[in-house]
Amino acid sequence: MNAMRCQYEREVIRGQQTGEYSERLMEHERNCADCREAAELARALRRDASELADQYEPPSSERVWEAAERHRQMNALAQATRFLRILKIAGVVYGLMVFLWGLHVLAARGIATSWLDGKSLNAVMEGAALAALFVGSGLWYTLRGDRQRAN
Amino acid sequence: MTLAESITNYTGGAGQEAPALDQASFQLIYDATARPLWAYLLRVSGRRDAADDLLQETYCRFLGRKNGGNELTMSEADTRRYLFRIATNLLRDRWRNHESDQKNDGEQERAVDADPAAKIDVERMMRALKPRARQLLWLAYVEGLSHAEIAEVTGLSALSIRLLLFRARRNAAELLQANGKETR
Repeated sequence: MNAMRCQYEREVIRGQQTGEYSERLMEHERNCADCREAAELARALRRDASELADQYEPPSSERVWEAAERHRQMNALAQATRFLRILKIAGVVYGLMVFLWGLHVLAARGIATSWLDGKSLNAVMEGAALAALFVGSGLWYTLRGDRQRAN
Repeated sequence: MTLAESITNYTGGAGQEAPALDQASFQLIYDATARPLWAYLLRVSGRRDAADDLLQETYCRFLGRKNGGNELTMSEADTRRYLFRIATNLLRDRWRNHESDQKNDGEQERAVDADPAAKIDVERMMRALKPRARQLLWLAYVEGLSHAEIAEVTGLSALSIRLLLFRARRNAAELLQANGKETR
């Protein structure tokens, strides 16, 4: 079995498609079993394709365009939230590390908390509250904008 | 600009690509390609519902791709081939996700065809072939693509396409002949 395509096969198929079917090609098709087989198959497939295409009523391009827009917005939202999720995880890990480091320092000082008086504790609490406020408002603003666009 | 927008832009996401192609240009491309693309999807997948879904998904991918705007410099043939490539990738993803689709070929719904016997032959013949063979036959004989172009669309090597196409053609020709004898 020879798996080599006849060198004229593509020309024969092209000729069928474009209608430019020279006498030389016709002669070749008559004498070449491979090309004849390919040409018959191509004719049958192309007839089928053209009948199917004629019957089909595709959805309007506007509908497809709108669907693509929605698709795009959902993808953008997914990308943005993925990044934020990574940031959140990084924040938790960072917080945990700071906490452990703090414990370590306290332990090293024999849990002597003489420096951790009420004043410094208040300053720490205020700092943490401010950080939470900034991060929270930033996330809320970002996600609100994305949700509005997605809807 | 929101943080998400700037992140999206930075990562080369959708925010940057959105207005690549205007709706009127898209309509021209869509009108010229939707029907042949659907016929390809129907005959290769063998399912009308799959062809409908994949057609829409193909254009969504086309409009949402990263190099938005390239279609303005693409020739009509290149754009068509590009759409077929997207559709072919989607078909492959579908087969991976729904392997039963391939096994249930015999139970697939029939395409609504007006009747000609030749057409039923083609439909039967395509069902009897493996999905890869259907793809190659369609791309080679309906779309008239060269081996190199089919390789580009399917992701196979041009060398293997020659052999696979030859086998597919032989099988298809035998099936068509057998069907022809049956219907006589």
